[in-house]
Amino acid sequence: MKIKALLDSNVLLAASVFVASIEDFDEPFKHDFHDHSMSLIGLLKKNMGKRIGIITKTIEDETHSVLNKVLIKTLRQFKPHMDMNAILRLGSHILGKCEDRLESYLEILTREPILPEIRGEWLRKVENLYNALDTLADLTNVRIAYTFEKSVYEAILKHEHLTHKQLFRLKKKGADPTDQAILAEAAHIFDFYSQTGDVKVYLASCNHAFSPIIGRNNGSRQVTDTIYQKFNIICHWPLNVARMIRKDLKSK
Amino acid sequence: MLNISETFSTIMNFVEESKKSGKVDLAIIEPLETLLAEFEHMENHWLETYTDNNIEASFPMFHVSRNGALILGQMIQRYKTAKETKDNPRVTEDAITVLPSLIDSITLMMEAKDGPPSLFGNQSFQTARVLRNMARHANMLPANENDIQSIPAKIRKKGFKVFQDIVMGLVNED
Repeated sequence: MKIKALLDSNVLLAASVFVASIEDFDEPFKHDFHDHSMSLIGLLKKNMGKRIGIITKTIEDETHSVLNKVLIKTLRQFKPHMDMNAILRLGSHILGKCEDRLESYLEILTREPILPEIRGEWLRKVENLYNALDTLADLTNVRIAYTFEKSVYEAILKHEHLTHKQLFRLKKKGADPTDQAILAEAAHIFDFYSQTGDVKVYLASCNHAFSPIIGRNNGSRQVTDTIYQKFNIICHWPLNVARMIRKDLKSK
Repeated sequence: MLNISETFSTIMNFVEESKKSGKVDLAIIEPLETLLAEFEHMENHWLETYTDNNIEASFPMFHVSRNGALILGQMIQRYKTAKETKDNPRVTEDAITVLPSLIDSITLMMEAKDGPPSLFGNQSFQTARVLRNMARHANMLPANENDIQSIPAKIRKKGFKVFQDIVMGLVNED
């Protein structure tokens, strides 16, 4: 069975934000999810010959774009009367270091070619999925509100909200267009590889739009499960994806 | 006024000669320094024209020119020490890898200087990426970019902290 792991832009971003040996800090300057993301990237690098790690142009562009925007936003936090030469040099240094790391990761990942019209076809299916989830969120809200007696309402509500947190989050925030495009591409990738044999496609993401909300009683994973049921894409956090791939490789 | 294309031609001639003979002619350092001065001039230009309202346009240009200057500085350093570090003809091969990206960088900045730089924001970020990438593979990135230690600690700390906070806010925002 083929194994493919698509890395979301936030995984690449988390892995890229790292600068060691900064004397102003006791610990290296890094992203909170850096180590988790590196666990997956390290595994993909070790198994580079198996071509497990993949990205798409959408993901690559998004990662660069986010890094640039974060840097610009950082520069805006400084007052214009300050030492702009020092500030811009620092900005350039941070961006350069993060980009260097990002480029070194991109070198070990395979970029899957996806034509815009193919993405467009899958995008329609993804939109249908999100519309269905939106309706499900409304119905779940109605069911919670009308099913339970007032006396038990608070406790039940709390439990229901924890269980459906991922769904309600999606309802509140809406489906991000880039997330939709990434899911459409993941769905196409599964479809493409499944035509030539068995395949398992993971989508590693630090985003609750895809990955489950970790918690008691299996956390909240309605969106994650629906994505799997509809498109066979296994969405999870990078550390979990790394664990699952290790298991897959052992059982081969 | 400096003729950039002539300077590049001179550098390329030195590089070609060095490739053929297998020896480094240290006279290449002069046109490289001329080019470095041009990148530093560009760096100052984008610093001086930088305002809160044109960050998106000026910073990417500053980033390209700064990287160009750092990489050229490293190239000059390698040529200067090539004999004692036995870096020849490797330094020439590496210079050949990086020079086309340096030409692209300076061309972009000259276009942006003439036209509205806002049109070149994304392109310049990309140019800087390609330039650094080429330099990284050719061992032309300054080995120790410790020039940030010359940045006041207050600015350094704030810059890293703000960047980290913003990037963290993007992930797992719930």
